[in-house]
Amino acid sequence: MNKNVISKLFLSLAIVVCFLLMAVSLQSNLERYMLLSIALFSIGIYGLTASRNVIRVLMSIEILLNAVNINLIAFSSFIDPLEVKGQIFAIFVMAVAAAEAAIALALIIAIYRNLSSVDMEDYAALKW
Amino acid sequence: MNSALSSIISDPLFFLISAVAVIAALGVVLETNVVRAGFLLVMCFGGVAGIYFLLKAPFVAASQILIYAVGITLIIVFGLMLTSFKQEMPKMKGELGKSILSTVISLGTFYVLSFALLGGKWGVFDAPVICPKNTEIIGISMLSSYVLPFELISVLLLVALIGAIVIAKKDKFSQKG
Repeated sequence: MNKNVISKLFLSLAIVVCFLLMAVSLQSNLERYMLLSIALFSIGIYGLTASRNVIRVLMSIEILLNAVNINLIAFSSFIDPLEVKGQIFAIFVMAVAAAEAAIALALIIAIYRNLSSVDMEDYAALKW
Repeated sequence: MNSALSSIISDPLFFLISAVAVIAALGVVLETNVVRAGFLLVMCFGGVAGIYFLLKAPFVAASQILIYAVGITLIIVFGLMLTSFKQEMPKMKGELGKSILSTVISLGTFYVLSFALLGGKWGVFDAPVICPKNTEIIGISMLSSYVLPFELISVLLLVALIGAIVIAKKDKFSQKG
């Protein structure tokens, strides 16, 4: 348990310190926004692989989609400010994310009714 | 050190909001209480909406607040209350190894992506350019050049909502429930 806490602390310190150090050393504004997107993306990857609760995995996927959206909007407002195509794509990503969240929660509730568990380790019916 | 301070002073709002977003996202993945993680998710999405405001994209920022910070988080918190409210996970063998492996994967992703960021030449852009008719341009191009994806998205949302109702509905013949 104690080692687990240490590993979590190590992850959070590493990401926050790397993010702040690189963000102050980068000169261009666009690169800073991309760095924020990278930080959120790697946090989401951690949650996706480490979580055992299915709903937390869903939250991590939402964080990943948000990281992608930050990148799209940063490029659209720095490079393409007249026809903001990146923002339109970001809106499409949001709509697909909403549909995905609704379907995923319906599936989770249906599985929970059968297995009475939200632990990823119990969802092994398709494992050989 | 001096240049670091000057870059913070030149854009203090970015550092404040992005620190809030990153720390809230870390809270979402590391907090042991899942319900608290769900409410930290609101903070993270709010921070991202602030970043969109800084990027001069007010329409996307407003829809971020409406869709993510309220809608999706509300659905997720409902799902939490229906399933895992105050439910502790049983202890499992090899949990520490799994968490260390995930840390390595996550930091590796961070390293590789930031390596690509530092290696590339992205050009020098000082500030996001203000689009004078942001919302108007989005609306016009959604109904002219992007009308097909727009209609497809609306069909997708309808299908997803009906599908969610059908999947989550109680089965008449099921044994449990």
